[in-house]
Amino acid sequence: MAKRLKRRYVVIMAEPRLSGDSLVNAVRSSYRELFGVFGLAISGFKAMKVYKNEGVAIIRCFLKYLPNLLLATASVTKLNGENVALRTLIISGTMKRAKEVAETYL
Amino acid sequence: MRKYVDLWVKCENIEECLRMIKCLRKLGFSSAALELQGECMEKFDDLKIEAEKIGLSLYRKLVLEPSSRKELLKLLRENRGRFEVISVICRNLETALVAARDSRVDTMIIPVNPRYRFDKGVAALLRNKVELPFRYFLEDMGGFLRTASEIVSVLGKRCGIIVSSAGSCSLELRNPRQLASLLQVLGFNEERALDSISTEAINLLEENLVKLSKNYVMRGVVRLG
Repeated sequence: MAKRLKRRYVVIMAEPRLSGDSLVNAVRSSYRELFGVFGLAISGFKAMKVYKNEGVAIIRCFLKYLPNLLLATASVTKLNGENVALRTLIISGTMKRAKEVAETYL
Repeated sequence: MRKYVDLWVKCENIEECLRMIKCLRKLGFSSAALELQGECMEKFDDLKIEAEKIGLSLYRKLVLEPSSRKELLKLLRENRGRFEVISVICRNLETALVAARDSRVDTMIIPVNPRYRFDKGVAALLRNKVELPFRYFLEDMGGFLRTASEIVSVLGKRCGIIVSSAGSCSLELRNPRQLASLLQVLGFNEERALDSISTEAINLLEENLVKLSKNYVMRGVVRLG
């Protein structure tokens, strides 16, 4: 029987706060740069919720590729020409919990 | 619960240093080793008190970058008793071979694209831990990953590997999970990757604190009472 793929929801925040959309794009392009287009395609990468003005986003990926996503977030140093650091606030197994945590940082 | 240590944080001025201390605590670290420069050198005790208030233990770290074996030995002789952690950036094979086996060295740092090969010969001599600074990764991802994967495959089984941030401002610091993800990507399992920023580093600090205490006589001999 095919094994169900487990997913993880990672809440990330830009420091200093910048737009959520550019945050997701930066993580995606960083992931692509590190692991390639194929790596990105099989990782299950998906932006689940973007808090546009608060610089917070929830990104989903398969559990197997979680380290890759964390490394991709850690490798982002510039966003819109500004120096930034992306912080992972929580890694959750459910979207509900991820949302709860993300909303505390708004 | 795991305790995490950032084994290399660069401090150049007091304001930035205080910001970094707060940031380290917020990121989940319980200890940090600071490489002090300039005015921070004299104000380490004040920084330590400030850090203890928020629950962070600070230690002094010295990073050496000698060009020869002789210079390395001289620097170690002068400084070993004054710092809790000593790391050596090995720019050539000569210093790498000494740093690998000298018990006064805590960690050796192999720079990105070193101009020497570290193979089974170096691995056989290795008694110290190898440190991978995350800042090197941010500066040159491709080069760093190439060197780090070589380190992990050749030396990873024989010695401990420690990941540190080597950041000089709060935006260069990363949380323990992000640091550990580097080793996970290079093939370590989650437990061992997390050990590299907790257990390995804590053991190293504890060993050195014993060595620096007044009761320490020599290896294996401690004065009791």
